[in-house]
Amino acid sequence: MSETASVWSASAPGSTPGPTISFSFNLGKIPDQGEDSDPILRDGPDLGLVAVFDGMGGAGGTVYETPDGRRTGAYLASRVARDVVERRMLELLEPDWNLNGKAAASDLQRSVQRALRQRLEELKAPPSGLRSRLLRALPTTMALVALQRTQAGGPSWACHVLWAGDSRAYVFEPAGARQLTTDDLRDPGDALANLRRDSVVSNAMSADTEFHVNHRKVVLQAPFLVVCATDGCFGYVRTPMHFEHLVLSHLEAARSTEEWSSALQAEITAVTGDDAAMSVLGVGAGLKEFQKLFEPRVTELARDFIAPLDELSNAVGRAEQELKALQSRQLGETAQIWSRYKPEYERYLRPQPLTDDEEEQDKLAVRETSAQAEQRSAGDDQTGPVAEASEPASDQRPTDADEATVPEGSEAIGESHLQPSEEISS
Amino acid sequence: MSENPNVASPAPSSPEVASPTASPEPANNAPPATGSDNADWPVLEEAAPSSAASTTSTATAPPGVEQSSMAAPRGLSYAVDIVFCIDVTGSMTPIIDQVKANALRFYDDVQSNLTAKGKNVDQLRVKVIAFRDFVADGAAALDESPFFTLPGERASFSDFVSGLIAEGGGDAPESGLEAVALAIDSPWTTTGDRRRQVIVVWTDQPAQPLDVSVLPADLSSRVPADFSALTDVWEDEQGPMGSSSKRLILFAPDGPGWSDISGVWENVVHNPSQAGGGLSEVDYGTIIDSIGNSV
Repeated sequence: MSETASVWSASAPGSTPGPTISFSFNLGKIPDQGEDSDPILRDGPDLGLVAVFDGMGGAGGTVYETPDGRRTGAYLASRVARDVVERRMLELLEPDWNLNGKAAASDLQRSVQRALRQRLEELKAPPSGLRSRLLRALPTTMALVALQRTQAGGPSWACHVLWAGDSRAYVFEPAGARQLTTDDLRDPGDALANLRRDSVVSNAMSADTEFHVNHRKVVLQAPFLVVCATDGCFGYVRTPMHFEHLVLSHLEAARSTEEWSSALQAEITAVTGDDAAMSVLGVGAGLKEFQKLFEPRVTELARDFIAPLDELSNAVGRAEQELKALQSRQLGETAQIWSRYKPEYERYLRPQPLTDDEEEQDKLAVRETSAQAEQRSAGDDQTGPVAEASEPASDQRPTDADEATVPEGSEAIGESHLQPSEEISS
Repeated sequence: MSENPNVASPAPSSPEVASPTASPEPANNAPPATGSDNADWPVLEEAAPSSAASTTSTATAPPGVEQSSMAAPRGLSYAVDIVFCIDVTGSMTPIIDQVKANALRFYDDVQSNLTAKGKNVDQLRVKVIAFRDFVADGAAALDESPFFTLPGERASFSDFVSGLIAEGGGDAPESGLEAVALAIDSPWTTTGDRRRQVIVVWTDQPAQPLDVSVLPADLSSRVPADFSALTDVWEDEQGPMGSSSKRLILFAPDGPGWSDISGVWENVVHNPSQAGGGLSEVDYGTIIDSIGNSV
């Protein structure tokens, strides 16, 4: 999408420009298997329509055979819903009529439910044997903004927000970003809590469960940017402030709408763990005007919100690195110091070299043993007990039979006052 | 202006929709004054796609255009813990080898599911609780491993699973709920930006009602007094498992214990079967997606 200066320059003298700049993208994590649909992005002089749809892979992972190959329920649902919603909204959203938001929400609910049920029937899938409230047939979220200028040529716009699930609509005003949708979550919280909590979606469009389409109406004063995004865009940044900064910082640096879109896509690609779709419509100003309008906000965001948070985050990262390095050093140095301490500590646990006297006594004992053995073998019927030959000759060796349990390499000491078992355990 | 009467009437036939490529510049003609006669105007035009669309985008392309792949993210980190509760009573003898193979495969499939979408799985751990029947087998009714960090401790995990022998248990039912209670009480990971804490049960029998009086002393404090108390532990947002990150997968027959769980508890997927026998590949893929694709 590109800037369309001719739109607002051609407006009636004195009138405020309508939709001026826009772009959208749909980034699939796996080629041709992205479960977000292509966004809706339509504009007219006094109207705007922006929407995204996120097929829910966790709840709709069931695979169906289709003429296009095997597709998950999530993939199919987002596309069915997109087409139905676009068709209905083109019917409902006209410059001559105020949109009845609540009625439109009911209309979309009925239309999408009917279409999803019909699609499910067409798929002729064998019934699943699984029981779970986590699983749904053809589940998808929706976040949609319908804009209607309230007075001819005026800056005031009626903004109807229609949604189901946790995809979001925002308005970016020069004073800051404002969330227009309330996430449908089982454990609801504010935007920061929802980032961390990763709660299960409590309400989403599907073929086999009841759902509702939420509606909210706000009045916006141009210039503003309307953004619809799936959670792959905003759900993988540290804070909601970071998401606003992500969108606006790339606006400031862009020489064209295409550059802005490309930079945003690259940034989201780098951080997200999900498919990501976004649709953006600027009303009331051109790209350069938006850049000028949002410049103070980008500066404020960077200075007052992002820098302190990032500094803290970096400090935590450094501290964690230092902790890891210290733990590694602790392990290494402990092993080194232990190796210095260990030889003396284990002095008596190792076999001790024999003294000269002990060595001489051992040799003597061996000779005596050999001589006795020879004497026994020489005698015709003088067979002594076998155990005798294996008895230690040295009087420093234990003679108790239990001493045979002394481990190899161990040396019994102080045998004069310790029982064998005590010697071993000591 | 008054409200559009279309919303109160049945949806008419499809309206004319402006072609996506009809106008290279959106709304680039002089707008009519609101409420003016603009019968010759496309009221809402498709905003034109960028002529310099990035190769990583299908920016407003019509459905069916191939989507691009994205690089591995540098965003959030993930930690996944899985506790396998395996019935090792005598009745499992004909299928115990298949269950063992399924346990080893399950970890691989969850990891593949996560990494296919470029999710950084910083830590993946598995633990095994083999159970029989405390009434019939006493202390021999339980064999509990520590958490094995994979892939580093894969050999130890495989050895533990391979060493399981199906025997004992007496008559049905078995101590499956005790195993689930002990699994809930596991030392779950607290690392990672996002976590999945998964309990997987394979059994071919219904579950005994909880009865702490038959448990060895060291286990009685870890097992709730009855099913209602166990339900409270599972549903407790401040409980041992994260309220959003927990999942319970049951490959267990319809019957006392298991049907009560799947009828009441949140975040449960129940495959009513004899320890997963007859599970279709489609349903198996759905289960794996319910763990990996929702985080």
